[in-house]
Order: sequence, then structure tokens, then C-alpha cells
Amino acid sequence: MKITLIELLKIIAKSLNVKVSKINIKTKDVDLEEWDSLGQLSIISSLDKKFKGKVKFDTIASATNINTIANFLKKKNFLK
Amino acid sequence: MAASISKIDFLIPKKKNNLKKKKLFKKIFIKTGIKETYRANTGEDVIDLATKLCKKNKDSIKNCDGIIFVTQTPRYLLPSCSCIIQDKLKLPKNIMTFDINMGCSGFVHSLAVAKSLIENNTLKKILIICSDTYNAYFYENNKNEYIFSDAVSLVIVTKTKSVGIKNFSFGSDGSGYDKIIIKNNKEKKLEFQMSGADVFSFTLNTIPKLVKNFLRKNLLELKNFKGIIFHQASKVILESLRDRLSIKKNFIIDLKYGNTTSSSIPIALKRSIDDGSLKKGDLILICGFGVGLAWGIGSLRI
Repeated sequence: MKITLIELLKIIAKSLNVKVSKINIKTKDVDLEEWDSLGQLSIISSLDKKFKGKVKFDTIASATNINTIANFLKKKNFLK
Repeated sequence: MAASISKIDFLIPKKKNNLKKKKLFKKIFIKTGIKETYRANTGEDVIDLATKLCKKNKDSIKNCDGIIFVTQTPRYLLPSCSCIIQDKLKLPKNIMTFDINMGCSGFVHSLAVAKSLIENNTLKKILIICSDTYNAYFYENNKNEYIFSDAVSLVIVTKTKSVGIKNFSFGSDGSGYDKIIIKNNKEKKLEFQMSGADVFSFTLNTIPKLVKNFLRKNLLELKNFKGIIFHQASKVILESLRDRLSIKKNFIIDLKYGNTTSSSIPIALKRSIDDGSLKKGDLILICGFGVGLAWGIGSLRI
């Protein structure tokens, strides 16, 4: 299964409970109050559900920006 | 020769952290499912909690010839808590005592050790005590107080004719040693620190595979178990594991007392027996994971 960047942004925005217009590929964890350790956990949990347990999350667990998450998913062939 | 669990009990300190009055409660509760956590009184430690619980169960612990004390928050670096407990409980001096320094997988480790000591005829009746007081290592703004409760649990393993405690499988990955750790903070005070996202990631990457391999190796299926009790870490972790393993029923989520580390499996087991969801003779699967990073899985008939 592959998702688009827009879909990824929507998943991340929903996980962090912020409007999708508030984030983009350059957004860093420090830019958003909502992206704390719990926010990170929500992102992992949402992506795990989306990809039905097929993604290893080590990189995403330590990612501090959306670009890193997107690049990781692209490398693993989960992002168009 | 076989070993079975003959008694389970637990004790939670009365003092609450009053989470509902704290500003992050709603936000954190959605993820953890934990409404309240409990802490020991100032100055009260794992030995005090264990002594209280054991005295309540003094008839059951008579004739124990071994004590295994599972803790990561001992009173002293040395001696071991189990030695002190032997004296506090006025148990005979000709018994074996030792501590196991393991966290959330500690109960599974101690059960495997107790089983093997009984099955090789070294001991006949072993008292396992799991106790931790993590709250003593939380300071202001440490969000872990929303998750962890201090607690003590007691499990007695006895020599029996029929097999109660069955098979185990274990693992560890020390490369993640700093993901859950008590170490000096900037003020050089020992503080509990946890990287929640890393622990969550480790759990999702490791535990489903462990469970599947364990079942395959022992020719079992999830549907064989009347109860599936994983370490009660938090709602988001338990629900993710349940979904990943496609567990449809008998998966126990019991976060009434929060995450009680090595006591979480004994507490969930005891509460499930008390409320009638599990009964004597039921086959159950237990799985602990966390600090180390380390993990353990086992099957037993209660």
C-alpha cells in the first residue's frame, strides 16, 4: 500500500490534533506544541494502523520533522 | 514433577497522584486509558510494601523455602531485598533468597526461574514478590506520574503433580538500555526517564513476532487461551498489540491501577479471577516487555 504526501500530512495532523493547514513537509517537532512525546506516539500508532503493522518504526520514533518521516516511508516504498 | 501458582495477591498504596486535577490529564488519558496512579508514602519503599502484603498473607507463605524479589527500586544497592524480607517475615534461615533486577518483564522471568527450581527438586514452595516504587524517582513535570503506580504483588509457586506453569521464551536487546532508565538528571538527582515513542516502536517491532514464534514453537493458537494478559503498559500499546495480532477475544486490558511494572500481570490475573473472567484450570498466555529492553512470554494453567 502506498499513500501520497497529502495523505501523510492528513494522518500526522489528525494524530497531533492540529489542522492540516498548520503543517507541511518542513514542519519540525519544535514548531508545534502538540508534537511532544505523546504526539510522536500518536503518529506511530496511526501509521501502524494505516500500514497494518508492516512498517518498522525505529526511524519514525526518533524523527524530529515530517521530512524524515516522509523520506523513510518513501525509501520503504510506502509513499508515492 | 511440576509447578503451579497456588496464590496471588497485591497491594496498591492509598495515596493518589490526583491526575484529574492536573492540566495534561485529558490529553494523556486518551492515550494511556489511565485515570489514576498511586504512590507510596514518602519514606515508604518496596520492602515496606512487601512486608505489609506478606503479613496479610502470612498463612499462605508458611513453609516457603525460597523468596524471589523482583524490583528495580530496591532499598539498598546491597544487600538484596529478599534477605531483608526473610527476616521481616521471620521465615526460617534455611531458605534460598535472591533478587531479580528486571522491570515490566520481571514477573515472567521470576516465574520461569521458580518453575525450574521446583522442577529440579531444589525447592518446594517459592514466594515471588514483585514490587517497584518508581514514583520516588519522578520530579516536577515528569509526565510518567500519569502512567506508573507504585505497587506490590505476591505469587506463590508450589510443587504439584499436574503441570500448571508450562513453557517460556525470552529475549533482550541492550542497545535500548537508555530508553527506560533511572539515571542522574541535570541536578544530579536520580530520575526516571523514558522515551515513550522508542519503547512503543520496540514493542510493536518485537512483541507480535515473539508471540507468533512462541505459539508456533509450542503448537498453540491464540484461541486456545482463556486469558491473554500482556504487561499492562498503556491503552495505546495494548490496543496496538491486540490489533497487530488480530486477537478477537480474551485479551485483558486492566488499567485501573495504571502501569504497575512487574506487578501488572499478577494484578490483572488476580482481578480477572476475582471478577470471574478467569477460573481455575484455564490456560492463559502472559507476556512482559519493557526495561532492558527485555521481554518474556509464557503459558500456564491457573
